[in-house]
Amino acid sequence: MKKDETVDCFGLICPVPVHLMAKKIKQLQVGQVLEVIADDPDSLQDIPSWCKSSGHKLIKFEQEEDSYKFYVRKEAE
Amino acid sequence: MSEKCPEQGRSIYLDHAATTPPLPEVVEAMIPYLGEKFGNPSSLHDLGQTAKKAVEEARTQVAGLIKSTPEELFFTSGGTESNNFALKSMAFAHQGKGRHLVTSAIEHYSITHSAKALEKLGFEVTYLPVDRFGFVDPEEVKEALKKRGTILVSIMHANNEVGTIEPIAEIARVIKEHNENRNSKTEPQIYFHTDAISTAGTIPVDVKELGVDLLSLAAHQFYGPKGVGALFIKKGTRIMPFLHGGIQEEGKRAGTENVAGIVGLGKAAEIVSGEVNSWSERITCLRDRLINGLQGNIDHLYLNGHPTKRLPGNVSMCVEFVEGESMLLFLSMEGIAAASGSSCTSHALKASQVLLALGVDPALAQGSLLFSLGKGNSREDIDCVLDKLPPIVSRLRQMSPLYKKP
Repeated sequence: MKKDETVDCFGLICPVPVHLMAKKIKQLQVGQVLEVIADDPDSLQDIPSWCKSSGHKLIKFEQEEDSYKFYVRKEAE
Repeated sequence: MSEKCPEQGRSIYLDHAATTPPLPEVVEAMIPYLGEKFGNPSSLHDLGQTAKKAVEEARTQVAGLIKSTPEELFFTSGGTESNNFALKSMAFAHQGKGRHLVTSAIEHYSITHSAKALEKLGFEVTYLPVDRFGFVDPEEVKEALKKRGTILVSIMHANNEVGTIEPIAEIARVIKEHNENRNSKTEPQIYFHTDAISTAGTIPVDVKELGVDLLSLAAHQFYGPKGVGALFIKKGTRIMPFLHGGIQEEGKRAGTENVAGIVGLGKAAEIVSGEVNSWSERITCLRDRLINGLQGNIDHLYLNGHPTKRLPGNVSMCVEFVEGESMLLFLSMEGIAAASGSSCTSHALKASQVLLALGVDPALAQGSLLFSLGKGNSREDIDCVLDKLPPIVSRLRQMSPLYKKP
């Protein structure tokens, strides 16, 4: 999966991952992809719902051995 | 009183390994952030943003000191926290892949005690021995690495007590070779941490040249304030947060920032980055003058560590038939501040574990004395010690039943 930036939220508890990805996505260009690594089960709910409310697109989700990977495409400034 | 020595009331500070005097520019830079610029960097208003800007500027200044990127630096409460952070958070992040760590027998307590705490949680730790100079052998590191278990190696850049500078780049090469030849599906990557608390700001430290994934540093070791330090974490290194809470330090070290301290750390880093070479050259000359002078004037005196591969300001030695603490008291009466072993062990009536690891006889280790020089010391300071210490040693030895004049 092509990605332009990564936020590694391993070990972080929600809502910290959402805050960090919101901060990071501001630095990206429209169309670029942010990879978010998280392992808090709450992120399974929080990250997709943040994408919906902020208007960015969750284009891929992967379940890794010890974490989840979310790929979010920046849709607008 | 000799003409070489300080007037009454002034003292000669030769305990820079314990801490260094903050530079006036450092203190000056910090003061506004203890007063009118009191904002919280997480606040969105101007006061908050002023503080945030100061914190980020400091991150860039520290990055300049160790040649990292600012994003790879995480501020902490000092060297001890950086070392705890490195060991525990790396162990917790990678325990699914392996539970073995490698370190040395002469690390600071913030490493060895963290390692022992991890052992109680089921991790396995190898404590590598050192030779008589205090060197860790890269070949022994290589032999200690386990294909299916080792996740972290932590070796200090230089020992704070005996001053020996370890072959960090060579150890990094051994680990890199291991990582390149491993089966990445079944064998975990091994990360390399170095405790550079005694070296950052004292000798050139470059994270790329050293080849490390993590590096600890502390401001008060290079003319900055106490209570603030940093951990370098190479981009892409998986690590657990050390303090959970808010999003400060990318969530890895939560808690409202010690803004004034961080500003002081940054300022000190900026100043020493430009001065480290010239200071260390001058201090090395003073160090060798002290070592040679003492060796010429006191018999049964043994230098600890390596004659040349040592920290510029470190003069660690053992004086036979006397106790380190007694020499310290007499030196203190002359206005000379020194230490016996590390400041961390000087309150425990035990021979230093570092000296014992170098193979120093436990009885001889009782006579350990550490002068650590800094940028403020002069040739007069050194000559004063050369003037005062030999008679102190003679007086103490006269009381010792074991001493016979050669």
